[in-house]
Amino acid sequence: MKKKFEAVKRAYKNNQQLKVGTILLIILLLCAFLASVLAPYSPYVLTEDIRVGPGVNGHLLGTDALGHDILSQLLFGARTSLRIGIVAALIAGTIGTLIGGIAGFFGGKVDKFIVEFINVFVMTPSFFLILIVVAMFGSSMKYVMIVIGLTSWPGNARLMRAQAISLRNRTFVKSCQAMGESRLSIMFRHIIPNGIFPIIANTTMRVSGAILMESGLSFLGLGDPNVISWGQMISNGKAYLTNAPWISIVPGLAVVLTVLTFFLIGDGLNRVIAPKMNANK
Amino acid sequence: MRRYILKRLLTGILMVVISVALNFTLIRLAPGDPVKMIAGLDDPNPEQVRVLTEKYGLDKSIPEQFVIYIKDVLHGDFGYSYVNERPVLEVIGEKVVPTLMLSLTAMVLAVVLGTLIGVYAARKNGGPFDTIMCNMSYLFDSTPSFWLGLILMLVFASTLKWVPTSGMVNLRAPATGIGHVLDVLHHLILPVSTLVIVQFPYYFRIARSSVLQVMSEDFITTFRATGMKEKRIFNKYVMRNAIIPTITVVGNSLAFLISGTVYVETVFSWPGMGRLLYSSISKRDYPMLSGIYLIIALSVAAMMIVVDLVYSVIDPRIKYDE
Repeated sequence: MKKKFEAVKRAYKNNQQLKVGTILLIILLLCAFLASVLAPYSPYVLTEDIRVGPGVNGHLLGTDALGHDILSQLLFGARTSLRIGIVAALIAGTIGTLIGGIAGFFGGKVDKFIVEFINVFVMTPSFFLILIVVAMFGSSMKYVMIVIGLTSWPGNARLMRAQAISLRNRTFVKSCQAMGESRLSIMFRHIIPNGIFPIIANTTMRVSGAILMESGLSFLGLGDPNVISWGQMISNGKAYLTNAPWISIVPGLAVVLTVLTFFLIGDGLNRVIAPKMNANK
Repeated sequence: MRRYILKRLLTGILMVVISVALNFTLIRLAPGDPVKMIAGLDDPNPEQVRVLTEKYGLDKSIPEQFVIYIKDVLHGDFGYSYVNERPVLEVIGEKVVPTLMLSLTAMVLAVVLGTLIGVYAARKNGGPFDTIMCNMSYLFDSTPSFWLGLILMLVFASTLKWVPTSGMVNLRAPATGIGHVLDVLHHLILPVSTLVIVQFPYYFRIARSSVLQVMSEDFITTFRATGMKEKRIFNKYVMRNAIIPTITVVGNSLAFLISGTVYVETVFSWPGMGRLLYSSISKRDYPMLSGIYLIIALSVAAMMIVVDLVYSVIDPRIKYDE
């Protein structure tokens, strides 16, 4: 584990993706954490300026049709996107690690059953499931996070399963077994910590997927109406596309940038794990 | 081979039944009363509620309703849409064509473009073209399709007025015959372009990385050592092996053709399945939703099986009885 992180440090130096990604991530996190300090207005306050363009009357990015300051909404929207993206990806990561770990380490019938289950699960049209659940059971942020997390774990499970299979015959695992350590304890203390690295990379990638999904749901009007979200902002600007295009353009750019950030970091981490791909570059 | 097909078929059927059952239950457990929606009143009179509930079988338990539903489906009866007051299958049949027109065109273009560019980039690995395309693929992969659609609409429809903003036909000047076809094609340009732009990075990356991967294999080095021409190695040995992953993902995307265009249809007011689904959700049209879901689940299962079979024919390394 420690060795791997040192490898990351070394690889970090000549890994463009990781570098750019981390810088972007730091900026994003600062925006989200300091939203209440940085925002010139409250994101909910209706100012006197209706649909004024960027730069007018001190509204750096303009205002929307109701007079909300777009920059302020953008900063608070970062909180929503990041929170949903990260929590959903963590849920998917945890479920995937556990299910994949059990399948790979325990093997036999358990493994067969889980593999079949994953195959069936992958084939279910999860996007529709998400739409239906969110549309019908209500679209609070909690539901959105949970349902995205619950439908996107199979990739992680497959990765963890492969890791567990390759680890379970290693000497240190065998010696733990010989010393009488219980199987569950071996799994949690040795298999998962040693095999988690690809799952970390994949989970980072999944954050982008979750953020895209969330912005899509809010765009369709199925997001949490009580929080500010970029997808909702894009949808609000749809009607004013020709005479106030900034209302939709600005939050869209924010989505692109945020998704790109996690994409770069995830891909950068992947390159660290599989240096072979790097050699080809 | 026979056993393998049989097993795949069984898994496919199992998957359809499980996912339809799950979805059937979810829809009926959800809050919101379809009877109120059909009656069109917040407070319908009890007599009306009783009649409507009985008429649509909503007084029975969920498992009972499910058994009745499956029986009907096996007889080709997908139910009757409360909202459209027409059989579900009829409505779906009407909407499936525009969606397929949109998604199939986009997919074919995205696959061809993505693969060609990917293969070319891999051959020029590390060059400026490769670098630019890689960065572009990152960028477009991070772009939400609905936003890109709006931007393209703003630029090419509202500002430049090259193409119409939305819809499938020009309602002000309805045309027939060849004029109708041209009109639809004209309306198709923007939504298809949007889909192609967000989809091609996927095929690009798969083509590029599989070509790179095959080129680094030992047998390719051996061929080089024997002095075989680079062109021949590439066309005969690299391409053949590198195309397999593309075929798999194309199959997977085929499975989601009907369901993958919800956002783009919403942005461009395209009268397809995505918008049908969206309106059915908001109106609590249970039979319609179950019908759409069943059709999608069936097409996904069918495509997965077809892909597996095609795959096993192309790649003889795959064993059937595993």
